[in-house]
Amino acid sequence: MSAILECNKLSKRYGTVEALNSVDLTIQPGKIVGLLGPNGSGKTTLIKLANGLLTPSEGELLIQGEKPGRVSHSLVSYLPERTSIPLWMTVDQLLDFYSDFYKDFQRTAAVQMLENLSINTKQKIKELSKGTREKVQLTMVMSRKALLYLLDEPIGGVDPAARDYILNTIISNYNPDASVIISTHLIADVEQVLDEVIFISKGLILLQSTVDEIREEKGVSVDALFREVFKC
Amino acid sequence: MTWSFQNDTPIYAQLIHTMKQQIVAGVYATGEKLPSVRDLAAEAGVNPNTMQRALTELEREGLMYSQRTAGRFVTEDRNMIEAAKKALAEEQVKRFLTAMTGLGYEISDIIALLEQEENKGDVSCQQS
Amino acid sequence: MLIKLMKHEFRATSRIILPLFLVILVLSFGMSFVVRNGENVTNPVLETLVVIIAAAYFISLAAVFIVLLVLMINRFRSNLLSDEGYVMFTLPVSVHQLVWSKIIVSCAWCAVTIVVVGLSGFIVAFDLSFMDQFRAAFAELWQKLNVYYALNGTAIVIEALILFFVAYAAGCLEFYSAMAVGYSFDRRKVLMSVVFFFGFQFVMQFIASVAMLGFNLEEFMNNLFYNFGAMSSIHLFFGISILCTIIYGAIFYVITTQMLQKRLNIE
Repeated sequence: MSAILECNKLSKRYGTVEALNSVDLTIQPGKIVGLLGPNGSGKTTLIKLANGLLTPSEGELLIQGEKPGRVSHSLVSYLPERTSIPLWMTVDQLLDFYSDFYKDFQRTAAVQMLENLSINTKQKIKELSKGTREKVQLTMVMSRKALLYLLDEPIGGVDPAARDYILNTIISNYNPDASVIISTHLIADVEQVLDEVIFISKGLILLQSTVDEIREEKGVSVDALFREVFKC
Repeated sequence: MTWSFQNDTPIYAQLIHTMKQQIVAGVYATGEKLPSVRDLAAEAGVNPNTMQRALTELEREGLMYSQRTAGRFVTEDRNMIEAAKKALAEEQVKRFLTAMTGLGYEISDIIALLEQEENKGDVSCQQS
Repeated sequence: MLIKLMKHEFRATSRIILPLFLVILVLSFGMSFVVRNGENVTNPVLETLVVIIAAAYFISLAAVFIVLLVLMINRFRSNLLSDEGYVMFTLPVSVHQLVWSKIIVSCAWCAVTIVVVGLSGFIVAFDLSFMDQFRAAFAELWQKLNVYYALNGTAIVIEALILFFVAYAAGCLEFYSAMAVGYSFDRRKVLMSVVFFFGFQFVMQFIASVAMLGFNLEEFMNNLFYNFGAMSSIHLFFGISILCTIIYGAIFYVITTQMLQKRLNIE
């Protein structure tokens, strides 16, 4: 099977700061992958590069064999680190927006999810609480039948109920042809939903392994291994 | 909502264990159809691939069987379930004994303690 | 996809500008009353009201043009260069489509604004005697132009309109490119945008003045008149102006799209 996402000697510099340093990486279909690293390790840079929001300094990043652009945008569903849906819209208008631009957007599923969250779709996004806005954007992102989901810190700073909701949404939207990449530094919370983990630090990939392998070979949880590797 | 997991063993192994307990305890009755992998994964709060791996293992052991179109079922072989129950019980006993011998008790002391516990009242015994 | 971008751009902007149009039209009726009866009002309360209506009317006219400008700048900034940019730049559309949707919608609002202001003037002055005179004078002028100078009035009006909207679009792009450059910096994004806006202005004026060095417009036009005749030379003049404005806009278009493609830096 061909890789969904592939990085070849991918580097990104901001001025003299090396955010990613010659990264080689392959993500296969049907996997839920944790991109784990402390703050400032290059997680967000990698995800932004995969979304074409940044241009590589060197090397390349391919999604289904193509550089990020219009085609890849129609295949990738992206949850940015910050809530970024237009605040002036009502939830209904946001549903229109996603239906208009994404052929794979499942509007009925999205409406159902919003109903489960008891969110009134007539309401303006501006009037919703910060946590609810996050959930609305997550609903939009997860209601697409995308090939690759790139979720940047989806569980940072949400309450435990919201975290469970997010993880549950990821599991129940699982599709064997699609992959999910979750970037986070809160490993314990996501460990049990992951197939694979990638440890990233200072722009370098330290480890790419399956969760079962780590537990079987090292006899420790990924969280414990992470604490060991990134010990201060 | 989600099941809790230990940190030192693979999650799929823990899933197998929990599923066995549920079958033995009758949460899933003999011959009953099981929920889909995705639903089970969602219930446990784990990766569907991991759940799939656990279920495949349970099938291999004979506690479950799947039919191409109809889905996955708990075995109808009561002996098989009985054997699984015994294995789980033995495992619990072993663990208990290890803990007790760790405290310095001899087997005979332990039996005496258990009898003493039983005589205290019916409530605690019925529960276990 | 361009159409869909424009649809949502209209949605975003109409909620701000449409109420303003409504205010202008309502005030126009008030103003119409003031123009007709203002001098006959003796009641001090009504007199104050007349003053207020007249002031509000002119303020609303000024406001609509300011809102048009602010909206043009702010939609580009908030929709593309701040948080919303995460959503906009990951849509399956090209950067060109994003920029064009903004330009076209802004031009469209400019056109609607002109129509609304015209309509408002019509409401205020309808049926007044000076309006009739004005209309008659204009019709006469139009006829004379066409007959005596063998000018094609319609063609000139169309050319002037094209020039106006090309210039408007080029103006939008000058603002856009300044922001696209300014927001590529890590800090002081707004300040850098302003600096680059005036920087671009200065550079373009410098280039224009160098290009115009030794160029005498009057002489040039006389030459044109002499060589091509009145009608052709006016068309030629418009043609050259439109072409120059397109080049001016194209430079900023390239800057804008290149910056957004290569140097996007959303926080």
